[in-house]
Amino acid sequence: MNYLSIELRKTKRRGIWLVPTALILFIMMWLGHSYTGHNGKLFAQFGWKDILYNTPLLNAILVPTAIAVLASRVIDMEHKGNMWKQLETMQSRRALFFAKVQYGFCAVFLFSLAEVLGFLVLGTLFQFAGTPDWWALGLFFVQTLVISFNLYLLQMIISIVFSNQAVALCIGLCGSMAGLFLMFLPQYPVLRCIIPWGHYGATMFVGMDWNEETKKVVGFYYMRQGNGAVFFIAVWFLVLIVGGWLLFQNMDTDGYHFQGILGRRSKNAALLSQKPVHIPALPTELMKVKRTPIWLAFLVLPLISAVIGTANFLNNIEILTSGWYSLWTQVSLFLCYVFMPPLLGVYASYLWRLEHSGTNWNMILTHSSAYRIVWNKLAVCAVVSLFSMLWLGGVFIVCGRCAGITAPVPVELWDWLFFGFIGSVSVCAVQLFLSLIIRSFAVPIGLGLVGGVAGLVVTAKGFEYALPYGLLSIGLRANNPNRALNYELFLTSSVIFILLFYLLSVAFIKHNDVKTQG
Amino acid sequence: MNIIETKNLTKGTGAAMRVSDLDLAVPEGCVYGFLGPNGAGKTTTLKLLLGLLKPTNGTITFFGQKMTEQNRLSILSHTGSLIENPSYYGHLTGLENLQIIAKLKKVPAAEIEKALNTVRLYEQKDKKVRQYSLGMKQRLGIAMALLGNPRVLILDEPTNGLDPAGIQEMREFIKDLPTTHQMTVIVSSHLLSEVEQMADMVGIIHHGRLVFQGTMATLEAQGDGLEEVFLKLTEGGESL
Repeated sequence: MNYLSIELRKTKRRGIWLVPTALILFIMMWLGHSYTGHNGKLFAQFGWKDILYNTPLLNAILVPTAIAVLASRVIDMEHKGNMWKQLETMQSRRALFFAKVQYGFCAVFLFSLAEVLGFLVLGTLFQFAGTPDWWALGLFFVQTLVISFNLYLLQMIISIVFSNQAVALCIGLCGSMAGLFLMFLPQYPVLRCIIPWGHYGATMFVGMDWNEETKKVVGFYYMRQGNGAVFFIAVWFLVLIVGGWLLFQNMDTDGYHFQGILGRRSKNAALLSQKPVHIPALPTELMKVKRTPIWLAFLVLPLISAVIGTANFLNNIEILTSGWYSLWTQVSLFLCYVFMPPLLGVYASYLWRLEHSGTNWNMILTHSSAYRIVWNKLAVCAVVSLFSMLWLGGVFIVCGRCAGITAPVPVELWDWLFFGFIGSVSVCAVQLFLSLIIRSFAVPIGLGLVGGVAGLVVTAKGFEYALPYGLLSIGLRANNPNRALNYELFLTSSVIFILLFYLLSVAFIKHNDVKTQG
Repeated sequence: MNIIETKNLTKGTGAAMRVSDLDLAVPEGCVYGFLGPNGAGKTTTLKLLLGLLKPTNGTITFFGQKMTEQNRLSILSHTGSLIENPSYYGHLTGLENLQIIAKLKKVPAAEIEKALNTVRLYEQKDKKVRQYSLGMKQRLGIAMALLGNPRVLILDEPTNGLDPAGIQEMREFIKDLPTTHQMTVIVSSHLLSEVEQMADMVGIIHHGRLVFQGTMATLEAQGDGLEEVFLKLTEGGESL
């Protein structure tokens, strides 16, 4: 308990409580919104079951990224201050490890409890029919707690092993995407059980009845879960707690940097030192990101999206009858709303982290102007997202062919990818600004997730040109490949957002004193 | 001729005053020792000179030109600096770090080799900087500052983290820079003995105010010994 109180003291002024609080508010607003539309009364009628049916999906979309942010915030403060070695002289490794575990458990417990209490508030506000099934709420609370705690443990361990927090957040995003997609493949329940991000879907115990002719919901029902999910959750818990502890116990005392395959020197040192010194032709920003394989996430995320989206397409081929166009909706939908914005956020955060570390601002600002610094960062982000879009197009074509679509690839694909790229540059400009003014690595990424979902909301409300995240989704024509794009408005809006956030970043650097961690 | 001058240079106001009304005058071709106890305002002053902090009041003149936001980088292209701790990208090698600085400063590759040899890091150049010792990082910082053969070198406590032999070697190296490289050096320190060994000119700062500026000989003439004069200046806080 003493160590837990120390952890609480350490996180003072880090605003960590903001992460679960914002998450709860966001989920409650989302759920509340579904009871206010024209179908609101219908859903309120099934309220107590409806809410237990919908929340696992929301949890699968939002909670893993929020937990990755939370774990990163808790661990990264020790990396940044080189505190591990110092702490080990005052407390045992066991105490150090389990204090972090306890802290995460408390945060996840409060989040899970608040979520269930939120259901009761919504039920009262929207006058759900009948009384709540307390056992169902209790079961949901336990499931959310255990699954989220497993995710916390996993993210915490990754954040410890890789001091570069981008790795933990990229893994969190990729896993989250895989988990979300697997919810739409009920034919393969084992797949959902295998990865911890899939457990929100695998433990759902409320099903929905709907009329196939009218496409209307007729009711919800409780269903029996298989034991597979419980078994896998228990296995993951044991592996993470025991494996994590063993890993932590046996790490080098000289910090906790992972010096594995990625950290090895590729060539013989003697050979290298004989080579004449030269200056590479690469731009400096690209030289700085050498040996940081974050770009891999830009390959993995579209790949997961394409492969699982194609599997979903094949499973619903009787209703998804428009070939390439139907496949595009499956491949791009979640990618652009929920995953691409935080991923661009990871990259933006990493690019600024290079300068926020140590006294690097002193170095860079004595050699470059604010205009050039921000421009270079934006250019690198844009190049990475361009390659990501081209890769998405490539895997989309391959997956389509593998799925048996024989029609020629629609020429509109290049239009979707090009304008998706333009939209992504707007998002890059915003994320770079956020990561510049917020020195925390993870917070801007969380804001990227919020932005992505906000993009979905503004698109639904018809204000998609008013938000950079909305531009990304309509540029890609994510949920509607046949949508007509107002090209003039799109390009004007993109240019305004890119210029605005570029200039805001420049102004921030120019008008503020340099802050270093020296 | 003074290569750097400041007039009424001030940062902060009221209780948050960090440096106040500094009138520095650094002659060309000298080693200027900037001396003061911890927290006196040495690093703040050096950061103000480099434009890393915005002055609340006052002016800075480099090479006879008043420094503005517009000409700051053009002036700084003739300076090298090491402020606070050395700056570096830990996941890159020493060589890769220098390559980045060389690109930013637009200097040829031969300069990198020269700087590496000067600070005796050539053999360690292909090692990642995060694996360097504190002294090696400090030497890398000096190498970065030396790239491009700048006219002015601004070094903030450059002997931090060096072993005794390294400290002595660094002091000799700095002392010789005006003759070997035609550089003017501003070097801050909180050690009187260090400044005494290296500097021709000295400025003493205390509680953000310049309490002495002149040659070492003038300083010595203030009392019975350098140490006594220094203590008197920094404890009494009187301006001489």
